Amino acid sequence: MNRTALRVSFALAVFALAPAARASDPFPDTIKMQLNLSEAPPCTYCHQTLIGGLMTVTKPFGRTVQKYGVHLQDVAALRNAIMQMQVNGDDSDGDGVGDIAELLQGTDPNVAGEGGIEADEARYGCFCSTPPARSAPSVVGAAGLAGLALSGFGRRALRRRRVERKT
Amino acid sequence: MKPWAIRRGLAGVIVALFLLVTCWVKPAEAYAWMIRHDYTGCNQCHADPSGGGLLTEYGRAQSDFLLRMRYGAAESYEPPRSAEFLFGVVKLPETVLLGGDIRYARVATRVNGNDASRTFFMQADLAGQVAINRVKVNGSIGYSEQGARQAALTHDPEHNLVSRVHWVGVDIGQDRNWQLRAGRMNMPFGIRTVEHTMWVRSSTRTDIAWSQQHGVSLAYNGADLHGEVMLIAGNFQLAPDAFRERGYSGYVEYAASPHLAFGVSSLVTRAEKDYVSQQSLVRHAHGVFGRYNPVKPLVLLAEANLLADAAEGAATSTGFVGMLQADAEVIQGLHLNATGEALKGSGDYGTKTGIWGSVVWFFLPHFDTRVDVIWQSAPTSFSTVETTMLLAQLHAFL
Repeated sequence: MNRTALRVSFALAVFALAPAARASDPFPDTIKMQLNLSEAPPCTYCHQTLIGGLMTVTKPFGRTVQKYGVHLQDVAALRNAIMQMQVNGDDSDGDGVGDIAELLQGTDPNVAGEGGIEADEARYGCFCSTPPARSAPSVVGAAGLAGLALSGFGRRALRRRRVERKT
Repeated sequence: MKPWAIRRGLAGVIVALFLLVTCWVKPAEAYAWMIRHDYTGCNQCHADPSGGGLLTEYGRAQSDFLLRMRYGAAESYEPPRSAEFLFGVVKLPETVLLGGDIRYARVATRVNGNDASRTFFMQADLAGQVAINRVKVNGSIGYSEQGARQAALTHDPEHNLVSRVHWVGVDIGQDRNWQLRAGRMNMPFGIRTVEHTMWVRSSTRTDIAWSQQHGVSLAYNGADLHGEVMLIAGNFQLAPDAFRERGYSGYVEYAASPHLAFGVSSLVTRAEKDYVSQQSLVRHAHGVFGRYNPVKPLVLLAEANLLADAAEGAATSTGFVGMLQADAEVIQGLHLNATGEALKGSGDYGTKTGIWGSVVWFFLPHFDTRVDVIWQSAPTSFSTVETTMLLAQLHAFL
């Protein structure tokens, strides 16, 4: 094995063995506990996408929370902000129902009116207008389908080979 | 071995490889600083006429000659087998291009003194193109651990199959300088770069990570002039339809010399209900960009755009975004980058500023690693949020 191949093998080994770790995100659970909600609010109440992340606080409710000095992982500041928002009656979507009241009702504080997340949440994926019911992660399903296609393809190739041998 | 058996074997390897990539864990090469080597255009090295992503056979050869560190190896005009797809293990027909990218990253962040970190697969994509005379069928499929939901094929919050691009194109003209495409494509706007979080890309929604749109585009690649204009039909991997942006995006770049190119970009889109602001929105971005190579080791990249958001029933709010980047290749394969950026988005309280310091090392064929230190300052009505980010990446392309 030449040196280049050794280097590639080493890099691949490092790559494959690198540990995976993820940051904890305590904000949704903090809100859930403080307001005694049945479910933690989705990240998209504040962030652009469900994964959250820095510089992605683009939603009106998220910007209101920021006004109270809440920054990354600062749970104490978030608790204080929730209290202050309740006292001040902040209403990010201007629909007459305060943000905290909307969280307690289970409606989206960014959307005026009824503001349920079902009505206004973006949906993603192929044929995204009709997302299927999820019993298992769909990526697993897709990989399974590819596997089935591969096995079917293999069987067909084998059959053709047999036919060719006979003729 | 019978020809059909070879074809079947090749197809089996490709499918197995796809499964390996998707189960194990994007190319998003787009190096505007290749103007250093007199490459003012993009289509010589990339299947996409405006650059980024899947490499051509010529692009693969140049990645070995010009991009990677050579450790004193003699210059050669014959591309090595190792530059080919999968290091040359599989010999592809001339009409087929295949490639793939795996990018593994660790990001550590400090915001106003609070620390957080995570390690994740940024990208795991397989891309291919089949050419039948003038017709090209191109697509990518991959796995996204987090994010990139705008490009998702599956419906989960995380761990999705993604397809960033899929299009059919036809080369037009005697010299095939024109290309008409239809499908899901990168947005033609400004400097195409791998740094997808840079504000010139993220604020205009023209990054190559997940901001692609479905539509029809016409690209031109001449000796001194190249450009592309796309009519945007919307992102059909996003629903409901009200969220889809429709309009146009385009750019034209002129190479005044092999070492100086500059251009203009323009974008106007309208969504019945913008998926971020949740209101009817017409979004404008118009600007200029340039690339300059004063001396071989140094390339300067610059872009400045005017932003305007016109929400229904509200006054039009304006802003701007700009960046200046210096790329120094101290020895072949080792790059030092310094970048300054500024953003005043609509609705922002003040102007955000950012500084990037980056080291990029193309240390082996098909492999590179980079470390970025990013400092950003964002004023809010309450205080200024200061963010420092350390981003380390290992990238392999098949």
